[in-house]
Amino acid sequence: MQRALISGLLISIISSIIGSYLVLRGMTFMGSGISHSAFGGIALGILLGINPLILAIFFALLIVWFIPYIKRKIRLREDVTIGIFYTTAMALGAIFLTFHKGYTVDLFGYLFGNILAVNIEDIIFSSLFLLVLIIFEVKNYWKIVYLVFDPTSAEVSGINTFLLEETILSLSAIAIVLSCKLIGIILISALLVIPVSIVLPWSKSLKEIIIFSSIIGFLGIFLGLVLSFYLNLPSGAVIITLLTLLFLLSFLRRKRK
Amino acid sequence: MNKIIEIENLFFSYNGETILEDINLSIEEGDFWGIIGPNGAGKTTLLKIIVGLLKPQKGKIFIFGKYPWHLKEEKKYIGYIPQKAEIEELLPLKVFDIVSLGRRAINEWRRLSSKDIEIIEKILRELEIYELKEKLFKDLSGGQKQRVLIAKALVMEPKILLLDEPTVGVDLSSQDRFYNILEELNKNGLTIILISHDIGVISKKVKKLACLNRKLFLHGCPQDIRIHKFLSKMYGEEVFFLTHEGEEEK
Repeated sequence: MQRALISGLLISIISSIIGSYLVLRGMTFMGSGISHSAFGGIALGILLGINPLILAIFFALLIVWFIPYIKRKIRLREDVTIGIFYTTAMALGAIFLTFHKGYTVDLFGYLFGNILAVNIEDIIFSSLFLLVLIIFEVKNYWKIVYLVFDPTSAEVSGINTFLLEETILSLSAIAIVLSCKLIGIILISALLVIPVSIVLPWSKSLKEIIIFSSIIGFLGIFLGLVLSFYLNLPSGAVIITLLTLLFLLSFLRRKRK
Repeated sequence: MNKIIEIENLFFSYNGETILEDINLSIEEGDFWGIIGPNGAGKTTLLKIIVGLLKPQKGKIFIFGKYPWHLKEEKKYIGYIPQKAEIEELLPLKVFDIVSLGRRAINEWRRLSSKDIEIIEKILRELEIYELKEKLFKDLSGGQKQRVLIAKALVMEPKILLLDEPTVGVDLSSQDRFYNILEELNKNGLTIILISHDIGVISKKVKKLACLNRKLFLHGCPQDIRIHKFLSKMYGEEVFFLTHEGEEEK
């Protein structure tokens, strides 16, 4: 439980940094695309007996770098390409798993999250990743603000907006895969989106969005873990249900104003 | 006068469709150009080529004597104000922070110095938005938002200001004030290019006018009768009278 809580704290901060960018740039579908394509990597990892997370990161990075390439080559909206690629990655995952003869107990955990699966290495790796992410965010904070607020002027002013965005999306890919164990592939996009949506109306800067949504995210994870432990339910599902309840409460409060 | 921008026989097409055809234009230091044309005429494309966001397939274009896509240090001299639709208002941002972006961009994203803050505050006062500096952008009126975006460009201390449909969503009295600010900036030596589909006010305020509809048809002084004839053909007689009256007022 302690391990799950520490991991939950790390993941709530990571997903707030990533989620705020995806929500503000209108790219939340990319978040879903990344997490679902990770499934292909996980399945391949299980089949080959390699750490599934490494291959999941590889699959997620592939979608991040391949989609802008396709977008430039053919005139298709980004959501169409994401839709094609992530379902293909999931289909491949299903094919890989049919070749696997062993016991596939891990799979449900990867899809919906399993607190017992979080080990000490995951926590060390998540901590190191969070450190890298924070350094990146602090160093590029105003460039990111400019890119979100006014992408055209940001590019005219000399920012390589393509590279900056692809770097953020690559970091998102790693972040999403790291969060899969606790929250699950299918549910992670909710953790990226809901806390940010709750705090957006009363935040006064990107910094505030990240701080407040981290708190909300952790609140959801903490209560969700405790409840799932006592009710013997999948952790990710309980966390997301609680966050959705919080979102509905904030929505009602806003409406009353 | 120094030439800031030179465009020769420029062509641009996208997915096989010609957007700009054989454009020739030369812009000198201290000019105040208005480029007008209907929606879809290629105005934004031309502006994006000038600032180096798009590359033409044929022809020459120089800004500060270089190809736009080769600009390095000179990028600091370009103040660009995009269409309102390109601004993301979902991100909560204070006026001061937005204006500071221009200053940060030319300082290699270093922390703001006290001199930077002084320059930002000076520009905020000049554009009469100093009192709004702690306010969120999304809570401002259309005219105030426009002045914030100009301030963001001006803190870079640019040599040229390019504005893409700046008065969309701005009420008439604010528009007038906005054009007066531009006139003032131009008097102080700033070169300005403004594109708009709305020819009413623009033709009264700018020094030189060009009509763009895939090709650059005519350019010269706004008073030029040939331009009025062309506009009446492009937009209809009604507009012709509107601009003509404006001219008589002068």
